[in-house]
Amino acid sequence: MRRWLWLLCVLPFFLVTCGKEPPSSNEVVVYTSTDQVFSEPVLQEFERRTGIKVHMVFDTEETKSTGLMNRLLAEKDHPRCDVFWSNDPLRVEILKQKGVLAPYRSPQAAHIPDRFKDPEGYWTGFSGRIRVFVVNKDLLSPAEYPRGLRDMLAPRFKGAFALANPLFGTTSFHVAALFVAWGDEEARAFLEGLKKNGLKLASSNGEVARWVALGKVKFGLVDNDDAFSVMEEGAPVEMVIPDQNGEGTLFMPNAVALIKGAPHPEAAKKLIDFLLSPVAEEMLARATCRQIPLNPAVPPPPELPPLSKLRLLEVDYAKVAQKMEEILPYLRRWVAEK
Amino acid sequence: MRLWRLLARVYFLLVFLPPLGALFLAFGKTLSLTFLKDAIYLRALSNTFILALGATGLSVLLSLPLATLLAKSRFPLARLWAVLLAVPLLFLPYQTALAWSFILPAPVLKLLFSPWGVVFIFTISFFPLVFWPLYLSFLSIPREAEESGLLLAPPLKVFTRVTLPYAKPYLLGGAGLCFIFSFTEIGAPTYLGVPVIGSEILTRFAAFYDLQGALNASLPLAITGLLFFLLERPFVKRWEIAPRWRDPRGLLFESRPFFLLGGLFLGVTLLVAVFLPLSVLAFKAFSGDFWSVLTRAKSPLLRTFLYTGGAAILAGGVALVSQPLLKEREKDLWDTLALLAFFLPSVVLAVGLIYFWGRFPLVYSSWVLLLLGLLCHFGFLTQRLLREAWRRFDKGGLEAAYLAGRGFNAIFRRIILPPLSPWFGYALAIFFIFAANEMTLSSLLYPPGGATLAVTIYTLSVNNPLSVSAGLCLLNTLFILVVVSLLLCLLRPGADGSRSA
Amino acid sequence: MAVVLLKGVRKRFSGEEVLRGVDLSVFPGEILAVIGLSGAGKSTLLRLIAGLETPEAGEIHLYGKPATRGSQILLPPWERKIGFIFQNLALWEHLTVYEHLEFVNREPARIKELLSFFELWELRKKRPPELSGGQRQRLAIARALAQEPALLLLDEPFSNLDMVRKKKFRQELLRIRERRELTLIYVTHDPLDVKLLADRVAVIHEGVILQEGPLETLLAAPAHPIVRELLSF
Repeated sequence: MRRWLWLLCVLPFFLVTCGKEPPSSNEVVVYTSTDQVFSEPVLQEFERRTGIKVHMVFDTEETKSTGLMNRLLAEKDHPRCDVFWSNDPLRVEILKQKGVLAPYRSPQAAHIPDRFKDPEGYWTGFSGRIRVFVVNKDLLSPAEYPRGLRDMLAPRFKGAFALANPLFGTTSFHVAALFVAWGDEEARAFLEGLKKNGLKLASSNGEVARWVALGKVKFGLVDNDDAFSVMEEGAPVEMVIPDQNGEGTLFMPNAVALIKGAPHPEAAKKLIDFLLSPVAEEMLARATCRQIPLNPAVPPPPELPPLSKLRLLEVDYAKVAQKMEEILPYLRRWVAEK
Repeated sequence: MRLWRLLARVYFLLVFLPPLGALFLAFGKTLSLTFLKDAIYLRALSNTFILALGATGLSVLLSLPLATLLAKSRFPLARLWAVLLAVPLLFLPYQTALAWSFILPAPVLKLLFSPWGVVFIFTISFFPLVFWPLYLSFLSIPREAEESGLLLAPPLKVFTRVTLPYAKPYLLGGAGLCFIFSFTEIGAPTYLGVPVIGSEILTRFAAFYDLQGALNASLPLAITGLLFFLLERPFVKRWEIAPRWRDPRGLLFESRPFFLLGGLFLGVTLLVAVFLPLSVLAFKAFSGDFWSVLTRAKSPLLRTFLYTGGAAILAGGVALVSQPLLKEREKDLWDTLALLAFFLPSVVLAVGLIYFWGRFPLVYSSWVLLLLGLLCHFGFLTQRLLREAWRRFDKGGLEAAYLAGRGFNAIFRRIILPPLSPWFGYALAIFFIFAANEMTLSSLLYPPGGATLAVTIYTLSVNNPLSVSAGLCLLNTLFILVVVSLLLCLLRPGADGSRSA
Repeated sequence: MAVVLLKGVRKRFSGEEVLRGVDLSVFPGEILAVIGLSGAGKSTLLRLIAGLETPEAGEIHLYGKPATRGSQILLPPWERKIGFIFQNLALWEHLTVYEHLEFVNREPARIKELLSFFELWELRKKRPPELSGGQRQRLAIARALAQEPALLLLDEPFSNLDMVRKKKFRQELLRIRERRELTLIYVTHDPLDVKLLADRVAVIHEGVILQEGPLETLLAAPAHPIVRELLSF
């Protein structure tokens, strides 16, 4: 028994220390706010192809993307991350403005249209999602479906729709984009109108989708991957793209950036190249998230209209990023006062 | 001997002082109460309080009849049922909520995704924390105290006036534990869509990296933790548990209706808390691609084993070695700090750890930070258990050994270790169960690429096929079960309470 | 009419037969000492009479009525009107002196009378941990007497006492017996304790009563060498 005890005591440390490889260019640290279930396979594919070990840090549903951005800000002086793979371009814009990033123009970026790239090369967009409505088929007939954002103010939908917390994630992106597109006054009026119309606030897009699936609300505003996820679980829901009435819907590309002072810069560049390559975009298009590729050579998911057919909100990412920081105090108040 | 003593002291200093000290200083420095004006925050706080209170009350109502049935009557296979009633501790409350969301039909499902559902899930997840102390205390009551009562009054009167008062401190201790765990739980309420105070703080910290804000918001939680810590001392006194497993005499209820009703109650509890969730998860997991779940879980599983196992062994080992080496006063000091760290919600503790160790890159982005977090939060369990074991150890034998002139190492190996090894085993098992099911602390402290299985379950819960989540949860439970069983088999006491090498 | 009557009582513990057919009669008002080696079954005998154990076979009658037949308890312990002083006193640490008696008998007058008799009235608000050894002992007796039993059983009552306290205790017991019709059965392994108090002694050996009667009779004509062993100094 004594021998067992000694073995038990020593073994874990032995394994752990042996498992830790010496720091080399054979590993890379990536923070990603894209859902683990979609990002992990892509990163593992990179690992398989190059033999470079990838250390991943994921985000949780509640802190979506804001958490990692703030973590990178906090670690600015002692960067421990090499690559930031964000699920929207706003956070990388903010990080660029705060001097956390280093420019890197990947050769693969040549295939990405310019409007999805930072002109100074600090970040590059790829594979995106769109904002959609997810509606409960049992509670609404197709004639009754909401077709545009302003339908959320319609009296017939009073108390029957949900939105995720606009302080986080893609909802914050969307709201900031509206402020830029409509102007402060109209956007504020819209938000107040939502509250007056009995908006139900959820903690995340995933929760909104769940509520719609349960029938707690009739429809909600989410990203297309959240909609597809609940559809695949067999919920009685359908996806409606709110781009026909008015301004169009928001397109949110992923964005990848190199961190300034990254511990493994060479491996980081290889990872960025891979993420911008057709292979990665194809994987993201085929997965449940059905992300729309930006490289014209990659076939888009059949379940969604091609990018050319979608009416998209015009977005200047730098402007939206600034606007988002500006409206944060207002949003905090808006969220708090119910 | 002096070397071991030094090492033990260094361990305690490194593990407990930095985070607790950092928290203390941070709380003192910029304490602003503006968060009290935040309506959402206040709502979450009162919600959480009521939920925890409700869950605790229900757990007590659940545990009393069950403990009476299994300890105070000749119910068949009582020990088996008691062990089965501990199984919910192997589940993440999130996984129980997940399982029940599969079981319930649509109209009732809305009730689950509401505060009622949260109270339900809390109750069936945490009631073992009330049941087991109560059960053990029922088995430990000196049978003559009850028998002298039985000669004077019928069984029910003896039960209420002799048995229950004896068990009261343990019932209260268990209820306190249940309350704290319910109060600080984040995973299940988040899934069920009910805002709780823990997730508010987590959001403030993890989303906004607003350390000061998070600390300020943690004040109510920290105060609750402190309150329990202060109450624990005089209330729960010394731990007089010495269960007489093979000798269930004393007060025994023999009535047939009691057996039948009790048996039914037991059956329903086990069904709701253990068998239904487990089988539903298994069904869901195997109806999906279980093989992919296994491959995905391989690395996190190994990491959980290493981190949690390593932490358990370290905590247990230091606790064991420090018993003969440190004076009672010093042990009191470390126990007090450990108790405080245990009752502090894990979110708060994580904030303190990051606050302090953030300046040390070697610790911050490595597994050492997670290890320190686990040791700090759960060290109390091993320390308390092994201190109790030491209290029962015959010091006379130790003195005889010293007089015989042998050195400390030999005495420790051959005199101290053998009778204490079952306790060591229990301490490791309990530490492992709690640490492996810990989500919040781990999700904040894990090194890049080094997530444990519990954290992986959490991060993967977004937009992941539910069959995969189910499979991972199932694996987590099975894994903990296997490790704990192995541990207890290796170090189980023999019939006379000692273990032969 | 015998207060206690045992016929052919057998008791088994984890496979081993501790009592192999015990026959015993105890008469009203007498003090019986049961003596034997450790493990001979003395305490078991007492616990069987009290109804705290169930025999495998035999009959136990109390006050002429059947209390136990075979392995069936016909009369539960709380209805047997038996006072029992446990070896470790088995007091209730969380109840006060007053509450110990109140547990049995609600009448305040009766409680006061009993507590005064045992000089515990001034201490009625204290709890057992605050009492001295002698006070705890008196409390144990007071509690046992609170229900006005006709029979008092004592399990090794003298074993933890020094000579002075033994004599005090003996006087206590005799004083009680003077005031009421009380039968006493006590268990011991020390022949001095037998001599101290008993009217009759029963020798139990290997699960049966070897011999019983007045002490002098047994010493003069022991039925078995062990009897003389046990009873001589």
